[in-house]
Amino acid sequence: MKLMMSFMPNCREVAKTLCGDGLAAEPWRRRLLIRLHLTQCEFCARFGRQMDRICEALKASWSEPRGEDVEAFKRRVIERLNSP
Amino acid sequence: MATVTARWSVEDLRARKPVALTAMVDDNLPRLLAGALAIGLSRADAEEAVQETFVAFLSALDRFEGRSSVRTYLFGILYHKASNMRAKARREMGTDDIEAVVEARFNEGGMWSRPPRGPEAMSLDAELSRWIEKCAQGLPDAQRAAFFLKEVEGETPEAVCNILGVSATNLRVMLHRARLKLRECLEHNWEKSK
Repeated sequence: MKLMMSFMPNCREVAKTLCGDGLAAEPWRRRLLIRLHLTQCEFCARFGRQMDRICEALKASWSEPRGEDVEAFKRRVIERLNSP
Repeated sequence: MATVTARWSVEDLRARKPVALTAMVDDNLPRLLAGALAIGLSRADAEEAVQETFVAFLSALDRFEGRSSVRTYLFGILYHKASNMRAKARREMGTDDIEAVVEARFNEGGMWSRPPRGPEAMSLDAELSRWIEKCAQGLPDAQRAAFFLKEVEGETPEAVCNILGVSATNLRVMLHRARLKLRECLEHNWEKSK
C-alpha cells in the first residue's frame, strides 16, 4: 500500500490533468492511478465534476443560434454572394 | 481532407453555382455565427464578421487547396476578422495570474491547502449556467475561441492551432488557463451568492 501511494499522483498533479488534456490523454497506468485518487479524494473529485459542469454549460450556451432571424440573415448572405 | 459534401463541392463553388452557394452557407452559417457570438461579438458585429467571412472565402477560393476542411478554413477567416474588429488579437503567452492563484491552493506536498469550493450538483440549473456564461465573457478572446473550437465544435487540436495560428503548446496553455479561470470564477460567484 505504501509503495502504491508513492506512485499515486498528488492533488496538484490530478488537478493539472483534469484541466489540461484530460484523463484520456494519459497512459493507462497513470489514468488508473488518477481514477483511484479521485475515488479517495473528495476535493479532486469535486474539482473534476466542476470542470465537467463548466464544459456542459458552455456547450449549451454556445449552441447554434436558430430561429427566423438566423434564416433571414442566411438569405441576406446568400443574396450578397449571388450578386455580381 | 474531404472538401465535397453530398450537397455541394468546392468545384461547384468555384463555378459560382447558386445552389451550391446556398447549400454551403446553409451548412456553415449557424456554426460560424455561434462561434462569433461565443468570442463575445455583439449580434450585429457577429453577423458582419460572418458575412465578410463568406465573401472573403469566395474571393480566396482559387487559392483554397483543400488541406483543411472548408469549415476549418472558414473559422480561420472568421477569427482573423473578429480579432481585427475587436483590435484585441492577443496571443496567450508568458505568465498569467491564474497560475499563481491556483498554485496557492496547494501545499508543498501538492495536496489541497485551500480545497475547491462551489456548486456540486450535476444538474444544469439556470443560475449556474448564467454564472458560467458570465465567467466565459471574462476570458480573453483567444482563450474563448480555443475553448469553443475544441470543446463545442469538437475540432482536433491541429485544426484549432491552424485556425488560431498558435502552436500546440500554446493551445494547451490557453485551454488550461481558460478552464482554471472558469472554475475559479464559478467558485467566486457561488461564494458571493451565499
